[in-house]
Amino acid sequence: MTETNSEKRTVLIVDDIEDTVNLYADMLSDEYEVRTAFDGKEALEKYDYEVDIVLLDRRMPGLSGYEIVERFRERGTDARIALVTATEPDFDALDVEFDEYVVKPVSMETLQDVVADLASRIKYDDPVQKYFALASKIATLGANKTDEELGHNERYEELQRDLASLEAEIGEQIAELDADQTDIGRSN
Amino acid sequence: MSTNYSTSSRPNEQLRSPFERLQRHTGVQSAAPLIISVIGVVLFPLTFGHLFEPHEGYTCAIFSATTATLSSGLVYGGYWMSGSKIPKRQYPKTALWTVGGGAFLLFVMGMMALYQISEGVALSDLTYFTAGTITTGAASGFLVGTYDARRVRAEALIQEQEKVELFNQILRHNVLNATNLIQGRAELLEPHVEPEGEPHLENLMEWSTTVSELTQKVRVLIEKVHNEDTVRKPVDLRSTLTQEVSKVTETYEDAHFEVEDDLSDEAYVYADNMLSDVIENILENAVDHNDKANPEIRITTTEAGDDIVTRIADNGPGISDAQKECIFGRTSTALEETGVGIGLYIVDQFVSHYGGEVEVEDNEPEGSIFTVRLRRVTEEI
Repeated sequence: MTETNSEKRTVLIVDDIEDTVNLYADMLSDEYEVRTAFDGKEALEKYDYEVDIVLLDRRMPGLSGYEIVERFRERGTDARIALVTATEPDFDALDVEFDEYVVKPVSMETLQDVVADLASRIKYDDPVQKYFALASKIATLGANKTDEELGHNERYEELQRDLASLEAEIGEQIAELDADQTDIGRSN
Repeated sequence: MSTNYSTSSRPNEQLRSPFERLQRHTGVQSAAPLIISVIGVVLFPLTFGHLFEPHEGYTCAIFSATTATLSSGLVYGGYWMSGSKIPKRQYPKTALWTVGGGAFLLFVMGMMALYQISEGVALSDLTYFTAGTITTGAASGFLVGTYDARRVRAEALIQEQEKVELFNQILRHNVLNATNLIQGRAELLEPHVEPEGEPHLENLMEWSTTVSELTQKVRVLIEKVHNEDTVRKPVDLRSTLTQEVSKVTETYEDAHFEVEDDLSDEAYVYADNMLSDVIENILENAVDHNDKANPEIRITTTEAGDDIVTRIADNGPGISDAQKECIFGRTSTALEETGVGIGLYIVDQFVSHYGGEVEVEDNEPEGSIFTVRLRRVTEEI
């Protein structure tokens, strides 16, 4: 996706494996302004209001991906955050405010699609962003947990109800956004 | 002296308790079931003796019958234990419970007898009384010991499972991070590769994908170990098939899939949520090993009495009779030696877990047919 006649969006890439950070940077640097961080501490330093999108590993020494998301959200800046990780999502994920969850290995196409998708959500207001974050979370968990496990989790059911009510609230906007969005084939 | 000791013992010997070491060296471990049976054999005639002497009254006969049953129970108990799943390390403890139980009850009853005697009560037939007491105590002790040994075993199993899961998580995490890098770099390399170099790169990417898929399969197998005891539940076979076919259709653009069934209504079978992985593995196998430019896969589902039978037929090279034997990895050597993939092993393991079966036969004029037979859910759900 190209942002014609406008500044490049800024992507912050966080992963404790240096080669992984460099790999994503090489995949994205044509289209985006790229910042890199190799642990949670550095991520907090490099994160400011200019950052639009964050790609975040989940398992890192020091601060975990989930903890970093919380710190980011505490600051009130509203970057879109995607977890890109080798770990399957678990129920802890339900209470973390990320927007996408991608499981490694992630192809170049998927990575670029995810970032473009997150960039396109930026111009929408809160409920719409929230809707997509919720929908992504429910879909990721649904694909990785058994029906039985999901059925027994109250928080999961609660989130499903939240999603339904958000959908009713902002139905038209979603239809519009869905129409111009690329379908992301998430690798698994 | 200490050097002698360390060379003669196994590396993990130091980790065991002195009690366990003693058992190992004295052979108590393997003798324990025999000891229990022998106790029963010795006690049986002593308790049995008064059973057919009605002049001594019904109380005596009932007591005799009860203790004779218990002592023969001990004889069988020792024999049963040697063939049970109770780990050998737990044998001496069970024997100790048995002996201790007998001794303890004898002590309690002995005290009571002494008290009665001191009060001037005359006790008759002390051998008989003693044997009955020891039998009752020993049998109770044996039961407690057995339950204790089973509890220890169950706890050890859970710990083992948790360890396996942890190791697998670590392995997955590292392998997926590595393949993530290999695949990503290979993709970035693609535009810079001359045409004659392309097959090399393609092969590299293919195998890298195989590695990450492998970790997924191992995860499925570990899931199976965890679900061993879970109850099978009704799963909609038709929608699972539709879903999996559309998934592989996306992955393999050159392949053609044809699905049909003669099912009247719904097609619920006994399975669990891993059924989709089972189907996926068969479909992938049919395409992956196909030598045609356009693999043709035909999936037909029919009702057969209490079963629902799905046949997955391909136009591939077929499978030789020798290979048919080991393709599902049913013997341990097949998995280790013949390089059989774990995909079909997963299929076989899960299908038999569901109470069904899977077979492979030749297709006409070429290729193979995989037949999956699953038990149909008949009652209303």
